[in-house]
Amino acid sequence: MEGPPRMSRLTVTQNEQAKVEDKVSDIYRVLVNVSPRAHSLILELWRDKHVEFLMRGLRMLAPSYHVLDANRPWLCYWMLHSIAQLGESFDPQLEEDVVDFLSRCQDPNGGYGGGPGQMPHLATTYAAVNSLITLGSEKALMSINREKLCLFLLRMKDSSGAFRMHDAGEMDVRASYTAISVASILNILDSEMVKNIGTFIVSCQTYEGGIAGEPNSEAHGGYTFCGLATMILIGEADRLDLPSLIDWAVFRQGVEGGLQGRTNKLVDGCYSFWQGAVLGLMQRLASIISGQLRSLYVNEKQDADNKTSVSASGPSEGELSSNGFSFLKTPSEGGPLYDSSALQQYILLCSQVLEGGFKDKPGKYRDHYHTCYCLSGLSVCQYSWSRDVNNPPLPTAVLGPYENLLEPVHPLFNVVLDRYYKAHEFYAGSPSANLTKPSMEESGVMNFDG
Amino acid sequence: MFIPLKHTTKFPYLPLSTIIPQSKRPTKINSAPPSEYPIPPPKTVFPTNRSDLSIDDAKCDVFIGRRRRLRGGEAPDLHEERVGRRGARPQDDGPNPVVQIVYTREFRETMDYFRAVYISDERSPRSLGLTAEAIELNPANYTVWHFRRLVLETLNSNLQDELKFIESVAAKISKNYQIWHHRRWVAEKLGTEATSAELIFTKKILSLDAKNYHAWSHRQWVLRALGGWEDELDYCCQLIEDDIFNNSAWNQRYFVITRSPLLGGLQAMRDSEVDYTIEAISLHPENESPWRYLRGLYKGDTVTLTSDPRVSNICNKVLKSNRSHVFALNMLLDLLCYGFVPCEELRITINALKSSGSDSPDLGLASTICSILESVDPMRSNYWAWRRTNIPFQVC
Repeated sequence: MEGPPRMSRLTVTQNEQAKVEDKVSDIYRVLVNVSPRAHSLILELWRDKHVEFLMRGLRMLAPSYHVLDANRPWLCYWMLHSIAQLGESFDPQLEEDVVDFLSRCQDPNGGYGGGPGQMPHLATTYAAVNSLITLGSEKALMSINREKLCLFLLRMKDSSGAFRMHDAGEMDVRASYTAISVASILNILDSEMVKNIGTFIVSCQTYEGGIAGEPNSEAHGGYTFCGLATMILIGEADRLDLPSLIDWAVFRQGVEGGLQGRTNKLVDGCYSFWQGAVLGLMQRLASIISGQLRSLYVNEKQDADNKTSVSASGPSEGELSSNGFSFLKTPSEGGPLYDSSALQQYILLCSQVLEGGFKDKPGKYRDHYHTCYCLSGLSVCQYSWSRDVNNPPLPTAVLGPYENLLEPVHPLFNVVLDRYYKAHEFYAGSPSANLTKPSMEESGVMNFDG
Repeated sequence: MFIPLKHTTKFPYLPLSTIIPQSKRPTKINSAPPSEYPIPPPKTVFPTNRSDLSIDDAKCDVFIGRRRRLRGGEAPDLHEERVGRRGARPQDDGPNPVVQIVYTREFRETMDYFRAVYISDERSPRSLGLTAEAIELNPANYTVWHFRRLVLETLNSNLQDELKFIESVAAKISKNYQIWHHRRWVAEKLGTEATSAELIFTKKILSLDAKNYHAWSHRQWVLRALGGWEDELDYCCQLIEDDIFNNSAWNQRYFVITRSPLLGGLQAMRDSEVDYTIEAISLHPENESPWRYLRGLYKGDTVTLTSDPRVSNICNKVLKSNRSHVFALNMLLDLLCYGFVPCEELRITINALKSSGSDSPDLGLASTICSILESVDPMRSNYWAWRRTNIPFQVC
């Protein structure tokens, strides 16, 4: 041996990566030495334990949770959505209590805050709306003041087109997604809300291919999901460079089987959804992608120049909210562009906590956030070979026992599919046009921050 | 062997077909609250009468004074001092709360007093003190931060002191939207007098975690809004030298060469940047960051990308070096799709990588690359198969 020991020459990134690889490979090594029957046991989804962990959290949380005191609708969503994906129903009393609690978080002037009496915030509004849709009762769906919510969303819209998280709050791709997602699912999306968002999100796509939180920041899985989902919901996905986005996203899957959030960062179970759903969404954008490839590649430019742009004409008022619904009717082409089996293996063996719940990676602790997004990622994986998400997948698409199969989710909103359909039907009769709402000038929404 | 070792022996992946059906249904879980936190839910009614909102000044001041004293020393039993908190505003969680957090007494009292001054919109020094207490307990409470800004504006407070306050909070938790949004607000008010302090502050945070997303966003905002570009490229060089895999540093480098008013933009910088990047690739061809950066240098200009011999040369060099091939092959695949015509030497290098088993001499070069990638990079075999179906007709 010559030179200094190898470890001392490794950079911080290499050292951290090596540590994770060692832990994961120790876990996977067990697989090699057990019988096929034991595989099934090892790869089982511990439903009872997860439901127990989640139901307990819905009622009472330890003092250490005070750091999430401004995120209580999120806690509701993470837990309710996880339970719904596991196929459990909700006790009517619990359902009533959640509706009552979230109503206390609803601001008299629209939107939901992080707890009773807190300012309305777009992220907690998204969490509250998705929670109520997940509960699915008429009472839950009726408890949302859509008229006021619509005004709140317009108040949060900056003159640049992007949204702010709260009154005078930060402006980023999350804000755009949460605003457009709730407006779309509640059937109150209109051209005023959509105006110039596409331009903002396009400006956040980086040279790497992924999308950043703000222009010039680093491509990131969470923001990439938010940006892509927003563009699909407003019917402008063709404005993104999708081939480079796909190329960046597929490389986020590492040797561990799980997904990382950024180039050369560590694997984290929550990106099973953020990145996994991005690649899942791509399967339904096949026609836009092939059009972009035609215009990108050699000698086929003239052909592409003739293609009609989805965004050029712009959908008419009232049609905007239907993008989330019609997207599901587009068949999912081919198989997933990532290794679905390897990702499921990472979620079940490295993120799953046998006492209930999921975690980021081996060596970390479980929490409700990771539980929600590991399960959502697992669900996306299980249906990734299905052309139509309404049909159950073949057993070969589900790693471990077939009982691991979760409920399918709507990949743009991340709510369980049948709850989405119910909400869609419920709000379909009363589109935004029926809501009385003052014009932008009258409500002064553009003036709050210069 | 029942498990096909699909990838490496270090990371065995099970095939999806190893299914053994089990008929196991989850048992019904009782959703009643557990008994481990037998604290009765607060039953309180929010005041509707505005005159009820005035808070008990003496109690509140005593409370703040006590909290200040507590910060340095030990926490005494607070129970004695809780009596008669007239005016403090308990949280209205309703009769049957969900996701109820069992607050410590300290947390509950602080928030009760905060709510009192927030609801009555009292913009006073003691309100400022209360927001500091509340932020210390939960820096993610955006309502508290927002109210703090209103108070700071009304009191015309010293913003340099505010920067110090933020630093004390960030020392404990530096990954939080609220802290950084507040910092941006303060720096924006201070203007260019804050430039160097902000660059030093972010540098300090990045010295602890060189990939802190919020810190990088803030730093970019400082540079664009307030300036201070002079040493930024050197800073990027230093960080890349420390850790060549630090993608955040590469991203910052791209930001600097494309946006710095001192450097003349991407066109002017491209030539020297390509050399710098190719050197980084030669050192670690398995490092994705410089490969993505290299593409970025030719963003929107595939003609220049395909005609720059340095790009195909580095690919050729990596392929011949018997090191990690994936990124070099991916780059070549793109080049070919864009109309690049490879020299004979490169053709030979690529064909030499074909596994001996796959005997398909008539395959086009781009298809050959996809086949090689499918076998050397099985995690993405579906992706490479998809890429193969999208190779333009002329290139096949």
